[in-house]
Amino acid sequence: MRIVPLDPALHDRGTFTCGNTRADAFLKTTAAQAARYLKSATFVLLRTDAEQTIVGFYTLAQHGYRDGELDDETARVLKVQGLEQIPMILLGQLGVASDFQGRGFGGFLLKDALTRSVSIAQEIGAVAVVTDPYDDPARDFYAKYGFGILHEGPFRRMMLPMRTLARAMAGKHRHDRDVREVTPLRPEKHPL
Amino acid sequence: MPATSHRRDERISLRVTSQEKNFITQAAALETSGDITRFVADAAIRAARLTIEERGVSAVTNEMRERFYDLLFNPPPPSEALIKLMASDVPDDLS
Repeated sequence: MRIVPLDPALHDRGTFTCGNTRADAFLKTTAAQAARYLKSATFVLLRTDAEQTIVGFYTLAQHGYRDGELDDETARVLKVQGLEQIPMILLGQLGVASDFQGRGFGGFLLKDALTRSVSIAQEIGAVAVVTDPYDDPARDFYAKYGFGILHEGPFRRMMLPMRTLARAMAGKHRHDRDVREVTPLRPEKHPL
Repeated sequence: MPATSHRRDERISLRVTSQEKNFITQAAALETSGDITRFVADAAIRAARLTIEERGVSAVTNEMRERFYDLLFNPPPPSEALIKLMASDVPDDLS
């Protein structure tokens, strides 16, 4: 199985349903256009034997937090002084087709999204991944992997600090030479 | 988060044409059992959320500030599930 950028000409979005109408609608109508204008990037998990079939997908977009009351000391400790906003990555969507749920594909998509997020953070900076789970099972899914609830209203938002994520991956790199070799990134730790 | 943050005690009033109001009323009858306030508020929050996602900017609010910086300053150690996930292989293909 592999995960590749969404290609509307090759991947069958029309029949995809993950049980959440908003996520389905996003994939069908918004994802391709948003990718074309480089507003967000959607990646799809494909079957090896039928690569037009979308097993699942996720979307990443740049996101920032502004704090009108951010004091200099906090900004300094956070190493965001002088920044217009605190850079983050929004995991805007993540869904597995109904027929394929319950087999760990959601986890695989999340792993890919988080791996990509760390690369992005190392390239251009991002202090956390945020996501807005649609329902309680989705919240539990993200909570299991360490996303903390930032707020519940008017919608629920969860956040995983990049440092937590980098630490989870540091353990992996020690045991996995291949990842090191193919990762075209600075070998030192993320400065945050 | 303060307990007050979920109480609906703030007010937004708006003027619309009678056609617009009839139209909204029809839709509210279908979706929110005729509750026009709920229908308009839900629709506006949906739209606000899309706008914010589209523009890519959120604000740190008073209600979340402490939690926000605590997570960033004192990032919790990764959960076992996260460590395992990040070390996991590609799942078996579909049979």
